[in-house]
Amino acid sequence: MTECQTETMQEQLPLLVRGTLSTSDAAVLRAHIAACGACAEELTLLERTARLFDQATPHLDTAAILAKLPAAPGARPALTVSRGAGRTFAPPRYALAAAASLLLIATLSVGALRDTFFGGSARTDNLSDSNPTLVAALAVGLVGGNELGELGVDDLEMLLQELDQVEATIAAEPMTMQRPVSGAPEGL
Amino acid sequence: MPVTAHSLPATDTELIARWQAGDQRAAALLVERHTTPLARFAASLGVHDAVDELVQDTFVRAFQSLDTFRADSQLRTWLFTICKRLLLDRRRAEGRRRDVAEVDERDAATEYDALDVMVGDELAEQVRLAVNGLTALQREVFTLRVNEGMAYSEIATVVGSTEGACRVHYHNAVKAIKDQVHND
Repeated sequence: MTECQTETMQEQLPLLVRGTLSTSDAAVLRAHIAACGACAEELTLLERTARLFDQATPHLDTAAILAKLPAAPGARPALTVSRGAGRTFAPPRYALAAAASLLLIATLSVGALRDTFFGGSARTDNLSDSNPTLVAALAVGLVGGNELGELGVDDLEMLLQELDQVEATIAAEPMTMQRPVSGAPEGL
Repeated sequence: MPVTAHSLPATDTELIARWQAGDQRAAALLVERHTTPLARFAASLGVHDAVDELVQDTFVRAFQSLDTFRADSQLRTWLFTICKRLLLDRRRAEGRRRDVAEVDERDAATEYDALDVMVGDELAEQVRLAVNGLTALQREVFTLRVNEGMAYSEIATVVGSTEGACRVHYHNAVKAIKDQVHND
């Protein structure tokens, strides 16, 4: 087999194997290969070699790799609370307490507004029976003047669940218009 | 349909900037893009066991020090350099554990069969034998060129040599493979 006299073409053969050449450069090279036995033979060997290496390459699970990477510098950490050895992130208690307080105030405000304008059916009257932790939180955080952050993580988790239940209950109730209670503005 | 800037895949540099700004999805794209080439590189260096661990450690090390990465160089080259350094560290540690002499960098891959795969035909078998018969440095240069389409300047960075020397190693490797195929 005679050697190729166009070294620049031969140099680019590996780039053709992995498709890293531009479309126009690849077309020029293919035209050269069609007329050059040495380059055609070398291209066959390179393609066969690349295929062998592909066969020898294991397929890796990128999800497993991603799980080990550090979080992006500016990213907000995901709010995931897990117990035991697998704990990945524990949200600060004060943050949980603040979130719970805001949600509680918003929930009670909605209930009060409904009482005022649509009658008393929306509010959950039997709060202490169905939401014991919520009532406890009210006692220590809002009534007693203590820190809500004094609650344990388990209590805070339970509190958030109960707040979700209250919110879901209110959302599920029909928004039927009733006769305005005495003193409420006409037309509402 | 005209190709717009939005339809082009983001460059590594753009993805790094997005990750540093807090976009965790950019990391997924970078990992997706470079995992197979890194695994192929590790396999070409003779790694059969725990390729996943080596590639994972490479990404972890890279992401931990991405702020030191210089944007004027290629991320791929940097990743391959880290991967090779980790592999050499691992082999040195294994060597110490076996109470044998420290493994020389140039001989690091020679004790391994880089292409321990089932081949389907005679030509493929000849190619396999020829590749395994290359010196470690020849094989490394050859595989980076053929498998990844790397420029000689990039290859020189990964293997710690000069561009000219890498060009010579590549041509010697191709000649050795051709000789093996023609002699059989």
